[in-house]
Amino acid sequence: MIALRTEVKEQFEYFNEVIKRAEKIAVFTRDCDLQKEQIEILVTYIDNLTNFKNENKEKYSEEELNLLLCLIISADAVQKELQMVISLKSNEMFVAWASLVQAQNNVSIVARNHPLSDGKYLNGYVHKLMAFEQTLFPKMFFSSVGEIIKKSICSYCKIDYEECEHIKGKMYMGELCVREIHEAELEEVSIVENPANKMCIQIEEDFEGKTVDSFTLVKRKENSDGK
Amino acid sequence: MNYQIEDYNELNDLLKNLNLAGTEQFCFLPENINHIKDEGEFIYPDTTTELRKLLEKENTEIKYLMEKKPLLRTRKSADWFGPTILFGSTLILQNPHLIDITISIISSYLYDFFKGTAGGETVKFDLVIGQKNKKGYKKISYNGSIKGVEELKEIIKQIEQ
Repeated sequence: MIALRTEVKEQFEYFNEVIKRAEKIAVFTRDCDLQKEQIEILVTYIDNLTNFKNENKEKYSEEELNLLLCLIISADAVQKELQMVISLKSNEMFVAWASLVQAQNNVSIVARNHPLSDGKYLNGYVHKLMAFEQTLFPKMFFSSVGEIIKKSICSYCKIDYEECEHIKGKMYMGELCVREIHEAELEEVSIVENPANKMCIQIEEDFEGKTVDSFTLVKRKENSDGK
Repeated sequence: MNYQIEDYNELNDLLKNLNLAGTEQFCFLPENINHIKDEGEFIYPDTTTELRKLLEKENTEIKYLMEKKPLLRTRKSADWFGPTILFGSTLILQNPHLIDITISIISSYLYDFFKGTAGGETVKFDLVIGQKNKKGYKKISYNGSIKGVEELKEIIKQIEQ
């Protein structure tokens, strides 16, 4: 059992209150303005909690700092879920998709790193987000990239990722380790159904002789520069 | 569980041609070893880095086949593509638990890696086992669920007998 300081416990309890309210509002039928307001509440909450974590970096244990980061990323997941709902209502389908993918990625990070849990408590949420993907969006095809990494840096310790002991996707002292690719050679881009990165979607497809938006099946709106 | 076992005796010649014979006991084999002549061009899956770090953390040192900094290939799929791991026969004799330890570390890492995802993940990697009292190798190509990874321990014990 990990010993938590009182103020960290209080943060944990407050997180549960904030998320309980946010989840009640992150339902499709709820009022859009209420949902927008809830996003602002979550953004402020995330900022405050991030500041709290950073201010206590020297004072708190690794487990406490990682727990705080898990709370921050979990709150961000619910914020992205709300953004997805609002975007669906506003016919901004790409934003909705991107928000869903970010929420899924966030949940996965928390499940791998939560210091007080093996992550199984998130299974219900994982399947809910997957159900959104499968029922609210069309079957997507992805343009996924394969490449040869020549130089990569650890985001946590800033040295060559090959040289350090950190593992990408894991948290250290309240920071997430990412393998930053600084030099790579593109090998191929191919169409896949089950991609490493769900953000690499095909944004257009052919439908009844026309090239249309993959989400809406209507002609994509042109940008001001005509692209 | 889905796996294939085949003789991999050509590894002797491949290593000889690269002047690497005898240096290989417990290491990662590059995925393009069959058609590369310069060791500086060896390519490994990018997942090799994490496995190396995890093995080292458990005091199990494993090396790349070459000394030079490796080239690492990222994959496009959500499936997990692991490296080919060579267990030389001498080292297996010296450390009979090495294979089991390695498989346990891979299995544990994969359970962690896929936490918070919706399931249905496939993992792929190869193990090359040096044959006792012979100069050949057996290659086990695994392509299946995370659950089946641990079962490879028994499969390998049968090969060794």
